[in-house]
Amino acid sequence: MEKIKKRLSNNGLLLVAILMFVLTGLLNKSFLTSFNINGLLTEISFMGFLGMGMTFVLLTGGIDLSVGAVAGLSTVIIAMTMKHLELGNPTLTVLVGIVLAIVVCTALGIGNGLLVTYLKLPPLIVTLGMSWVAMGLGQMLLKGAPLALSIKSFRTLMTAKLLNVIPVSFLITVAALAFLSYVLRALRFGREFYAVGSNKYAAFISGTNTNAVLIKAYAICGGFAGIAGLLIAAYTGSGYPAAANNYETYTIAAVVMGGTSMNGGEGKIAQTLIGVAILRLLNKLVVFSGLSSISGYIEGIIIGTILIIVLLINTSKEGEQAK
Amino acid sequence: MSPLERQDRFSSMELVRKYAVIITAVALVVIGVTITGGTFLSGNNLLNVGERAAMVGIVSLGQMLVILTGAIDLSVSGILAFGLAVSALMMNSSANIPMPVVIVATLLVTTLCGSINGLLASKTKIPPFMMTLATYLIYQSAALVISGASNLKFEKMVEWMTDTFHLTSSVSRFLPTAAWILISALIIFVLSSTTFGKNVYTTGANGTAGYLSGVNVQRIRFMVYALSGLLCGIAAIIIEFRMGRINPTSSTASYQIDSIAAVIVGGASLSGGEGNVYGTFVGAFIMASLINIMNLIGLDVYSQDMIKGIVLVVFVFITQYLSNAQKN
Repeated sequence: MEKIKKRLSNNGLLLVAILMFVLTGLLNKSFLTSFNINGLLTEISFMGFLGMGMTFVLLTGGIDLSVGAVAGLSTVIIAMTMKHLELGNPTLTVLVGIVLAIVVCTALGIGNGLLVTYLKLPPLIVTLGMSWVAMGLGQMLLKGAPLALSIKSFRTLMTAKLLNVIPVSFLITVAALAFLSYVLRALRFGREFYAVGSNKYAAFISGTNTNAVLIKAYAICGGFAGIAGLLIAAYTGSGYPAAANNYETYTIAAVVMGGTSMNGGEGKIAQTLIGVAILRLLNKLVVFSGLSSISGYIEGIIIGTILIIVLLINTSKEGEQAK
Repeated sequence: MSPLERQDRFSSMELVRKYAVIITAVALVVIGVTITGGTFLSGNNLLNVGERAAMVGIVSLGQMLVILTGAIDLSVSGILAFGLAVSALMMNSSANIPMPVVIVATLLVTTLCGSINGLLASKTKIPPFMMTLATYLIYQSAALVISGASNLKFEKMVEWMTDTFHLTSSVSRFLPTAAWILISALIIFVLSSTTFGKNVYTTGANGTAGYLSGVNVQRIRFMVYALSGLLCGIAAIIIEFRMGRINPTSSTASYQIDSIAAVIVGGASLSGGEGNVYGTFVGAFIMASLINIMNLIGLDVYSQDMIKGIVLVVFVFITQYLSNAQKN
């Protein structure tokens, strides 16, 4: 009985995701086109990167509200690099842009980490401030209207489809998932996050450099937000600071739904990705079932309510009062 | 350090905390006058600042109550938007609903939203920022479902208020500030002279100790959120009266961070138990003046947000440092 329960709780979410997919398809057959499924998988891939990065931060008991703005900044960086960097070789330009975007976003993440660890400021306020800094930077670079990505080959590569349905970006996400799951499970570097999250003091006295772990968590979150931004830019074809506006709420919802505890110490990357999938499927369900014709904004109410329910379930499992 | 020395250090921290706000306010006025070449201090401009400060200020008072208990309310923008949407719906409906009914209904609705927050805060273990983030999404979406993101028309409210209270134009401009001062005075009284007020501070400073000495911590946690909702409703009515025609979500979007900033700049600690109305009052003025000055010198929205963010982080650092130093 215990084994069945464990199997269900581990795979339950996956089951929910599959059920939702089937339900949407049954309710409205026009959902099942390769165009729609391709779009769904693309959304899962960039939201997935946002979620995977956020998982690290939530594992350590923090939060990162800057991921949306940082991802937006990343789209601006890649667009600007393509337009202004004259290297003669488009592939090289794209590579420089990618590296630049990821480096800048990781740097902002490190900034978050430093403020949280050394100045001991609350992550909520720090990352909120950082989100404005990122938006401001993006606007300063862009100085105006959204900028189209000028090197087409980048778009074509990212949106190329395997079996006419699965986009390259999704494959990248799955690869990242496999890599990260291994890291978190098997390498000391990974297990430190769980240690710091569940009991920071214990981790500290057993020799872990808790400050370094926290900074790494925020750095990874920033870097992944940068990658997410690159995927978004490839999908939409343009760069502007508000490209991922307000994505952070949905990202947190996805990670929480995936079962990661906000108090730190528990969670799996794979579960986060399933949480992301469920949220996107929910969006499709609302759209294709016709609910969104009542109002385009109903999805927000549904997601907010589900988030509360999930939070209720998650926190009632834990013994301690969270403040 | 001898107990006496520790006592002295403790009281000097308190002094810094109390006067940091005033010093910042004075510094800001000086900077403001210099940068804007005196426009900042013109009567017309000061009235503008007062209006803006008042509307954020009323919401900030509710936010302060919540933060005093060690929690936070990220849903205020959503509650405001929802209140505005419901108001507009009732006001402009063909059923010709009398304005007093609309006003009461709006206040009930926003207090209900606050109460839902309160229930979740008192009966569950969900961390406040997660909980109010989720309810923010719900209330904001509900507002959008009702109003559909277009501008809402509140001309009827403007007419009704002007006619019923025989308000002249200059009195109307001062109304928000007057309401704000009145409500602040009320809350000062409640916090200093009633058991409820003292219990709010106890809950924030040390919930367990409070519980053990008989304070109904759960009820306090509920009440502050409900009050925050009510104050949002009052702010919503005033916004309707002064703005006439606005977009419910874009104009209320910054209220959550502005109110939190006002409370923190005013010297409250995010972990609860420290802070007062005077600080929040001046804090709201500081934030409103800051925004006003940045508008007067033509700074773009993104730079404004950056500066607001820096100010917020600096003040959180100061208050955090002060409360840590006091505890040591």
